[in-house]
Amino acid sequence: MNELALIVFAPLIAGALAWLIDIKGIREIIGVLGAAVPLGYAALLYQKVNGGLSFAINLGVFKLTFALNALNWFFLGIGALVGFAAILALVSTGRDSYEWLFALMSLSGVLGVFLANDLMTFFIFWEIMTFASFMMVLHYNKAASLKYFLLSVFGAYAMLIALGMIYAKLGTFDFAQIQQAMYKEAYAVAFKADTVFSKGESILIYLLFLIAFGVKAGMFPLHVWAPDAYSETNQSYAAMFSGVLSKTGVYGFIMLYLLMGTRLAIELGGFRSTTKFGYIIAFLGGLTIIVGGLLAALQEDIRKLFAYSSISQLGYILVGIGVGTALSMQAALFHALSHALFKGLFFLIVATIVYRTGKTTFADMGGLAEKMPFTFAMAFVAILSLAGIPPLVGFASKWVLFEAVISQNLPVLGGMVFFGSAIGFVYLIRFTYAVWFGQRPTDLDNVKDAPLSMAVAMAILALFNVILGIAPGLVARELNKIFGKEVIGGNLYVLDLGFGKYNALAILIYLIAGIVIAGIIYFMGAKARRVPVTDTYQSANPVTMDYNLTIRRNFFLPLKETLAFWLRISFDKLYHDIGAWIEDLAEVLRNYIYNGSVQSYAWYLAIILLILALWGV
Amino acid sequence: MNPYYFASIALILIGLYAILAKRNVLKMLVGLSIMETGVNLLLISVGYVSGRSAPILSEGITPDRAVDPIPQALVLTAIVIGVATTAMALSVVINLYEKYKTLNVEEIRRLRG
Amino acid sequence: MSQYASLLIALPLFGAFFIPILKRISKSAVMPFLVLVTLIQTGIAAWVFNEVYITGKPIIIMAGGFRPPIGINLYIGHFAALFVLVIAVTSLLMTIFSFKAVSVEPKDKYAMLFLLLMLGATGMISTGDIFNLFVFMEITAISAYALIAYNKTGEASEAALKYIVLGGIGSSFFLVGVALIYGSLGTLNMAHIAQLAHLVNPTVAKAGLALLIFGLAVEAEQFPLNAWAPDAYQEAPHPVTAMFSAFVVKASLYAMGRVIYILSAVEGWSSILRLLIILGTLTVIIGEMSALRQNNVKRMFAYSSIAQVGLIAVGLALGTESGVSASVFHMFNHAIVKALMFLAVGYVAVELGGTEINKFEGLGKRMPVTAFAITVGAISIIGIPLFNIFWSKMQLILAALNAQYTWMVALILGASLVEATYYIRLIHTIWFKGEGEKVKESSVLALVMLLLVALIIVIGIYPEPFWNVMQKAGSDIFNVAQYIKNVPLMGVSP
Repeated sequence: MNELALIVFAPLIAGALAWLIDIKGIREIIGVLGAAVPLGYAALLYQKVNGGLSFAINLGVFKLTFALNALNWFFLGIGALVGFAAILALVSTGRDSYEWLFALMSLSGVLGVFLANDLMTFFIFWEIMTFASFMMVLHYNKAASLKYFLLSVFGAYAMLIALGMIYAKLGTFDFAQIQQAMYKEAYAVAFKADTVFSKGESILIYLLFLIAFGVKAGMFPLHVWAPDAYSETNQSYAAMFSGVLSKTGVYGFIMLYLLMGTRLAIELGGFRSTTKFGYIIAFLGGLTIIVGGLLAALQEDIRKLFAYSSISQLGYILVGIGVGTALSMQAALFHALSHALFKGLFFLIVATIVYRTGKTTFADMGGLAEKMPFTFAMAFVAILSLAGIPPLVGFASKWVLFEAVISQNLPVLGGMVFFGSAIGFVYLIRFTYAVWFGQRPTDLDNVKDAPLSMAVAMAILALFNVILGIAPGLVARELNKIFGKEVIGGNLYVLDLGFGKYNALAILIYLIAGIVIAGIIYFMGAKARRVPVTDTYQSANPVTMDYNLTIRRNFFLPLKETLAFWLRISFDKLYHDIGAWIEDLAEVLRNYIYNGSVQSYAWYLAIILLILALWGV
Repeated sequence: MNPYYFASIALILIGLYAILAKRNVLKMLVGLSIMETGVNLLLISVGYVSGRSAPILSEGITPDRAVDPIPQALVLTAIVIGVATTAMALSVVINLYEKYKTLNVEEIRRLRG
Repeated sequence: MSQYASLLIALPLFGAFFIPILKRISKSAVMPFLVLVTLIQTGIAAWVFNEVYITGKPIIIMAGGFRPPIGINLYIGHFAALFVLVIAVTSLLMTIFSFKAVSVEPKDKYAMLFLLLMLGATGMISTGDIFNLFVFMEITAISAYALIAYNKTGEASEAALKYIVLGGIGSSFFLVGVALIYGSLGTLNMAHIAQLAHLVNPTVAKAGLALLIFGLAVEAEQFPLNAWAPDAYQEAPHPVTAMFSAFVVKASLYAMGRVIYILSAVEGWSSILRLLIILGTLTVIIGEMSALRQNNVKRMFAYSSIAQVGLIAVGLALGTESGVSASVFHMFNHAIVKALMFLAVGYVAVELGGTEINKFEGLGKRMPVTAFAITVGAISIIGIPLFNIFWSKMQLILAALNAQYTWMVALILGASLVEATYYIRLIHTIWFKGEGEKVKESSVLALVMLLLVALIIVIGIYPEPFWNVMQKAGSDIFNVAQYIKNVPLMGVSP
């Protein structure tokens, strides 16, 4: 058996076994093993990245082909790592064998998407992944899963149509062949020769892929499924859902660039210092950052907060991809990695909190740092990483991204990206304080720290957050390998872009020095009175319940009121209204048409006969 | 054009009218039967050749003296089928009347939507 | 040797009329006899299928030894061989289901009508004569009328009455169409008609073709001629509903395709195709929308079936070989899936006493195998990859794109979205809502359902061999020149 086949199918087989055996204890072991195989092989295959490893299964009509290269090894690594951590955490939170089956099935789907070497394989595994993740949501909430599924089916069919159009013209699904044909097309356009695809068709294919990948990546305005789906599922699984599954959309956009980037760039022309089609992606990404960030700040539910935050962070990646320079692409890939790492960690933390307290809203939380010190430490890493504070991985990737956008002279996008960072602090501060500090509700007095499996899972991700943060050169090396040239220079600890430099090690040293100094001052100087968490109060002012802006309740109400006008424009509501309208229309139609009277039905026949007669037949 | 064609089309339309306009289920079925008769007449007249005899091989009647036999065979079949349909329909209507106590189509519409 | 294929018609016919005699001897032997007949029929059909696909030549049976166009011939080509097998297998499975599902007496009448329904559909698919097609269509229709009314409730009679009235109008006009074609060409043999089609007076041919299509469209459930269908599906005994959806409507669709393509030389042919595409599209839209808020699951499936049938009709009317092949593939897949789903839903009704949606709450815990079957069927219909219908929808999309009907892609997409909506609601109700006592599921029926599920997944994973068969079957309908060549017409040269 080929390594690639093992990577792709091991989780699926393990999931099926876990589902069939369904004995508590055994199914967990099988499941974790199933997730460990891809991780192990991904590590082993690091040596063989450029060895042209490939694998094919002949299904007759279509062949499933897989191949390994530097780009998809990078994504494979992300997927296998975060997937393994999420599966590990599932040991504690998994409710039944059903969840094991579909969680592992979706892992198989994701890895299949990353390793696919032709569009058909890509699509099939895309659908397996969508379907399995849908089943995970369906387990918890019908409305959320339905919304997710409808948008996914919409995206999937958009992709299918694009596939069909490409196949109808080129007769192949193979990535390399399509890429070649599209290059030829680009030259043909440049020299005004005849092309296989007309301008309209290539734009249509582009738009269809934009929809297909946009849905999965949670791009505005197709993001509406994500907040509900991420929050209405097993939270351990959400780590994979948000951390890895959304990356398939990102990967798809990169494939779009690889397959037909040149063609589209020449066909559609440029915009400022980038291409027009790329700018559309980047601009939608920028809107995603803002919308996701603002809505994240207004949530009262931790799960929802991170769901919106995840959408917002995905926006950064889209901006990076859309700008389209080698540097911004690298930045996007880098951020894809760090997003998976810290967002996966965040969802595992949320999973732990939900698992231990059974509560999900800020209003019910507080003072957990004392009760769950380990989880708090993990949360500390995740918060610093997401907020972009050195020396964690989140800073490194965001920094490269900022530099990439600014160096291209794109002020609007730059503004959006900076705004996103600021709003990131806004919602993180709330999570930091409302959950971990402050007064603890009395019913949380007996909360225990994370169970072992979740603690290990979190520790793995946190470790990577720190290591790759201190040594961002590790990632830069891989990214340069993908592009085949040195875009980000420097060494293990230093990122050098030519016009800017970031030395993670130096910052780490400063940071440690600062902490040491602060510690000395703390221990030497101050006579601090130890304040128990139950002894904190809001302020001297009386607080009325209708304008109660504690950090746990409606903290950002003023923001909400300021944005009231914009918040009313909700795509979620728009889609919902369209859906409801169609259903009402359907009901009316059905009752009028199939009204039960056979005489009316006979009239339908007579009308058709009349139409036939009038048609002149 | 053959006058039988007009007669048969008229019969079909009369039958159709009964189905479309009469509220009583039995009258609708009568309409259906009239329509079938019209169709049968049409079939016969397709094969009819003026002045020839019935297609029975007997003394003095050779194939070129007879009308086309195939439509007649068809009509025989169609009549049988029509009878079967009508019988079936009537038995259904009997059952309907027992259950609904009415023959008005406007009231026989529990199944809808 | 190949003349034994005429047993396909003879066996159910004699079987049906032997039943009254058998009843005198032993009443309890009737249902086992039904199994026996359908089993033998399946064997013959399998043999015929094998024969046709191995030799690659159609089996032609001439009644009474007269060569066409004088004698009536049966033409069992690639399509007929395939669908005769589908009919036989579905009937066999449904006879097994009938043991459980049919409790109303007189069962001997049921068995007789059952065989006649099977006979009618088999005949419609294998006949090579247009009037013979009418006869088989009426045999199918009349046994269907009787079977719909079989439960003897008021609603069942109402549904049967609706079908009788609409079917009666449809078949009358079909016969007018036959009269017009015969009047202008002087032949009823399909191959002969196809051969002479270019000679015919265009007005008459167009009117004739339009009326034939009209008559068949009533049986093939095209909107707005399909108003009888949801009622009939809902009230018919459960095995019969499955048979309607699996092959009775398919036989009419096939006849429609056959009639269209043998008259493809007629002037104004493309406008008829366009009309059929419009009807088919409306069928899909109205069918899916009507299924959306159904509280009766059986009726919901009926509307869903109608919508799929619309899709098949559109594929047939694309006017390209790939369109016809895709349609045939969709017919085949839909037959499997809908047989499974109506079987499952019928079984639920038998065990839990109804098909309203609230009976399905907690079904996942009460009847896990049945619930699983419905779920797989629903997922397949939505068009998820690795389930059979995905491939036929995909082929339909490719065919539509090739035929420059880009908007049809939007139609299939929209239909799938709506399907997803109502099927997912149902799946959620089945698995995550309500509780209930576990019902002991019959192991035989569970086996039947799992067999069909396995078939769905096998086709989903290995579509290639099936797609090859479908392409041959599609070309059998599309390639009229070959059809004419295959039929040994006596003494007529073009």
